[in-house]
Amino acid sequence: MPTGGVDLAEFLQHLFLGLVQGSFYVLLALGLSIIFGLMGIINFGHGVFYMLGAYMGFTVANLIIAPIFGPNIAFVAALAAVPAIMFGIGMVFEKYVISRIYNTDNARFSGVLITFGLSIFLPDFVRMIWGRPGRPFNIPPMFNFSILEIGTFNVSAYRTFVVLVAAILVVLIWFLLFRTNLGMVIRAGTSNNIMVQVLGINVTKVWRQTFGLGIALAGFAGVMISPLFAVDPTMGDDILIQTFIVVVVGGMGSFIGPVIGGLIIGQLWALTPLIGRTVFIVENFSGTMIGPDFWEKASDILLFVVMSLILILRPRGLFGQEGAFD
Amino acid sequence: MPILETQKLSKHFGGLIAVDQVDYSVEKGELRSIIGPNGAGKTTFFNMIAGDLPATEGEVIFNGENVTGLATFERSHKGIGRTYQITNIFPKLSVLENVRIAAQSRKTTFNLWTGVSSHRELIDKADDIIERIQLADKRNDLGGTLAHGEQRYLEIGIALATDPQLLLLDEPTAGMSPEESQQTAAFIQSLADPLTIILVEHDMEIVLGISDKITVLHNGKFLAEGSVEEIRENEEVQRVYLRE
Amino acid sequence: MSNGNTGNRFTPKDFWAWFFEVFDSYGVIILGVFLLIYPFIFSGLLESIIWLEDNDYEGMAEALQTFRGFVPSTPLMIQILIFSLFGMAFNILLGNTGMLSLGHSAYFGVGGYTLGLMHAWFKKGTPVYPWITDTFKLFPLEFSIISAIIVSAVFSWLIGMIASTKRGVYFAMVTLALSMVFYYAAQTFDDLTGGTDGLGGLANMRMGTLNLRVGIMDATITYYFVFVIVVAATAIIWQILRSPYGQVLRAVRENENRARNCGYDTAKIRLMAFTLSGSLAGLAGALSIIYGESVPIENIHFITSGQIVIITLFGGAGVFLGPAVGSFIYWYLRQLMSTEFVKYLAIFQYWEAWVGGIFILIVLFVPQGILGTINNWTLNYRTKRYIERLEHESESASATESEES
Repeated sequence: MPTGGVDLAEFLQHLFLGLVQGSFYVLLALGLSIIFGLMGIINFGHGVFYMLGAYMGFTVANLIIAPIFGPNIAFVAALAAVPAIMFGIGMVFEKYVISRIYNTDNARFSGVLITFGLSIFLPDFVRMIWGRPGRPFNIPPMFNFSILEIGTFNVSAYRTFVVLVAAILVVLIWFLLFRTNLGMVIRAGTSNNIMVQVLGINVTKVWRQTFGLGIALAGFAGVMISPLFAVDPTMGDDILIQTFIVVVVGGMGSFIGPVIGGLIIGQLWALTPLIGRTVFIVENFSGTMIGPDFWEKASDILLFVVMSLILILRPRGLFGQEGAFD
Repeated sequence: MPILETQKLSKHFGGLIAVDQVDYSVEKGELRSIIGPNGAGKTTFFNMIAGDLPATEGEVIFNGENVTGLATFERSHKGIGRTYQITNIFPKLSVLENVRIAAQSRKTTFNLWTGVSSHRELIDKADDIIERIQLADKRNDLGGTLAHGEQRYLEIGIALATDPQLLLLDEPTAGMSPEESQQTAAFIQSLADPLTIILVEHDMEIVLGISDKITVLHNGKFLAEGSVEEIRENEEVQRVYLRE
Repeated sequence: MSNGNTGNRFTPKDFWAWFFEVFDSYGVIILGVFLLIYPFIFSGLLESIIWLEDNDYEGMAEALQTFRGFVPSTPLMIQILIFSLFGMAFNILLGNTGMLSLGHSAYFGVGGYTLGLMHAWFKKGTPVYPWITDTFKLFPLEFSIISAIIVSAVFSWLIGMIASTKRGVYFAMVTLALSMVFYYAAQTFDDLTGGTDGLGGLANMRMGTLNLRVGIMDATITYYFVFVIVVAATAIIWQILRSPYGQVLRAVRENENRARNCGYDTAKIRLMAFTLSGSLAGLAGALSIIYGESVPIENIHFITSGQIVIITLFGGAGVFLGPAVGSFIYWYLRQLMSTEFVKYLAIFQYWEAWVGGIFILIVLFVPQGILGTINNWTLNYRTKRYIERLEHESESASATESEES
C-alpha cells in the first residue's frame, strides 16, 4: 500500500515524465494555436493528424527503411520524412477541402465541422490501410540507455532526446514567427486579418503553408511519441482534448501561452497520481482503498477542473490576448 | 434635470486615449449633434453611453441614475436606444420580426408557453413602427434583402420599438444619396421631442439643418459646444474641421 | 411549357407539382402515420415470409427475405426515433441559437447513466427513506426518466455556466473538452459505472402507471413507449421554438450584439437554451438505454457528440424536422453498410470512414442538409407558381384586384 512520504527520486521521476508529456502538448498546442491565430479555424483534426503522423513514421521506419538499414537510421529517416509528408498532406487538405469554405456563410463553423468530420473519418481510414489493432514501435537501439539513474529516478536517453528536440523546435518556431517574413505575416494575421489582405500579401499561400506547418508539427509529435507507446488509430482522441485544455489554460494568440500551458498541464498530468495517492487515502464506494490506478485516472479529471477554473476566473487564459477569442 | 450626463468619461485603448475626460449634458427633448474628424472618438463615446464598451474612467448618468456599471441590455431597459454606423439588423428575419423582436423585449423574454402570433399587441406595435419607417410594403421581406437605405431605416425602427427616451444615431445617413439624406433628416427631426436624440453625423448640411446644439469632438476632447450659429463662427472649429 | 398539364402524359413537372404539394401539406402527417404503424409493417413482413415458406413459395420467400435485409428493423427504428429527439434537442442550439456545442454526448450519457444507476441502486436497496424506495418500486421508469431529465439539466446548466464565457468556434472547443470530463469520470468511478465495459444488467424495466414492461424482449412495446415520449418531447420543442422565447433565440443567432442592444440578457438566454437542450438530450439518453438494457460508455464519449452533429447536418440544421431525417439516413446507412453492403465489399465495415467522408462532403456541398435543400426547392417552386399566377391574373383580368398581403 503506497502510504508515507514521497521519495525524492520518485518525485523527480514524475517531474521528468511530466516534462516529456508537456513537450508533446507544447508541440501540438503551438500548431493548433498558429492555425487558429491565422485562419480562425480550430483544427479538430489535430489529434488525428498526429495519429496519421505516427502511422507515417511507422511505415517509413519499420516497413520501408528498417529492413535495409536497421532501426536507428530508420527512425532518423522517419523523423526527417514525416514532417515533410505531413506538411504536404496539410497543404493538400487545405487546398482541396478547407479553402472551399473561406467565402461562405459561417466559414468558421464549417471549418470546425470539416475538421471534426476528418477526425471521424481518419481513424477508420487508417484501420482500413494498416489494420485494426495498434502496431508496436520500439525505441531505436541507439537510445536504449539511461543518462542518469539514481534509485528509481531514471532519465532515459530517448525521453531526454524528446525534450531536447521539442525545445529546439520551440526555438525554431519562435525564430520563424518573430524573425522571418512569413512569421511577420502570420503574426499580423493573428491581430488583423483584413489588414494583411489589404497589404497585398498572397494570403492564400500563407494560409496554406501555415496549415501545413501546424499539421507537420502534429505529425512530428506523433512520430516522437510512437516509441513510448504503440501506434494506434485512437491515439489522437485523448491528446486532442488535452491539447484543447492546454490552449484554454495557456491562452491562444500568444507564443508563450501554448508553451507555458503545455508545460503546466504536463506537470499536472504527471504529479497528480503521485500527490493523490500520497496525500489522500480514502475509501471508495465499495469500501476498498483507492489504489494508485484511481489517481492515474483522476489526474485526467483534475485537468478539467483546472480548465474550468481558468475559464471562470480568467476566460482568456494565462497569456491570451484580451477579448481576442471570445 | 438633464436626461443624460457624463462626468469625466474616458476610454483608453492601451496607450491610446480615445475619449478624454468628457463632460457632457443633454436636456430632455433636445436634438443634439456630435461632429468631429475621423478617429475623434465619437463612436467610442456612443459605445460607452450605450454600454457596448466599458468606460475606463468617469460616469454616465441617465435620468439622474448612475448607469456606468450596468450592462448594455439593462441600459436598454432604462431607455437608451441606439443605431450603429455599420448597419446592424437581424438579416435573416423579416422586417416585421426585426421590429417585433425589439418591441417584445419590453414585454416578455422567457415566455415558452405561448405562440408569437398570439401576441397581437406586439404585432400591432411593430406594424405601427413599420408604417412610420415607410417599409409597410416590405413587411415580410427579409431584413438582409432590403436596399441599403431601407436597412438604415429598419435599424432606426428597431431602436424605436424599444420605446427609448434617448436615441443615439450613429451616422444614420451614411451611404445614402443626397435626396435620401434629406428625407432622413426630416424623419429624424420628426422623431425629436418627446424623444431626445444625439446624432453623430458627417453630413454637415444635415447637422447644421436640424440640430438644436452641436458639439465638436477632436482627439477625444470637446473642442466647442453651442448653437449652429456659434459653431459656424467658432474659429477653432473652422481651423480643425470645417475647412478641411 | 405553361400548358404542359393539359395533356394526358404525366410530365416531370406534374410529378414535382404533386410531390411538392404532398410534401408541403401532408409530409408531417404521412410521417406520423408511417411511424405509428411501423412495427406492424415490420412484423407483417416477417409473417408474410413465414406464410410464403409454409405455402412453398420458396423463391418469393427468399426474395422477400433479401428485401427484409434492407428494411430497418423495429429496434433500429427505436434508435432512429431517439436520435431524432436528440438531434432536435441539439438543434435548439445549433439551428436556432447559432451555438455549436460539440459536447452533447455528456448530457446524453448522463441521462442514460442516471436511469441505469437508479435501476441498479434500487435493485440492491439504497440507504434512503423507505418511502422513496417504495415510490420508485411503484413507478420505476417514470421516476428514473424524470430524474434523468433533472440530472442532465443540472449538469448542462453547470457546464453552460462555464462554457458560456466563450462564443463561436471557441465555444465548440470548450464544450467538447468539458464533455470529456464525464467520460473520464465514468472510467474513474468504475465500481459504480462499470468503467469501460459500461453499465449492464438493467433487465426488467417497468412503467408503473400502465404496468408495461419494456426492454429487449418487448421491441414493439418499447417502440411505442419511445414513440409516445419522442412525440411529446417534439411537441414541446416545437412549442419552445414558436414561442416568443424561440423568437429571441433566432435573434441571438442572427445578431447577438443587436439583441443585447434591444434589451435582452443574451448570456442568460443562451444559458437557458443550453440547459433546455441539455435536459432534452438527457431524456433522449435515458430512452436510448431502455431497449439495450445497458449503458455503453461510448454514449458519453465525444464520438456520440460527433454522431449528433452529423445527424443534424445530414438532415439540415435550419429545419425543425431536419434531425429526424438525418437520424433516419445515418442509422439506416450505418445498418445497411454493416449488414448488407459488407457482404459484397469488405471496406464497408469501416463505416466511420464512410460517414466521416460523407459528412465532409455534405458540409462542403449541401450545407443546408437534405431536408433543408428539399424545403428550398418547394419554396422556389411555390414562389415560381405564385409569380406565374400573378402574371396570369394580370394578363387575363383587369377587373380582379391582386391580393394585398
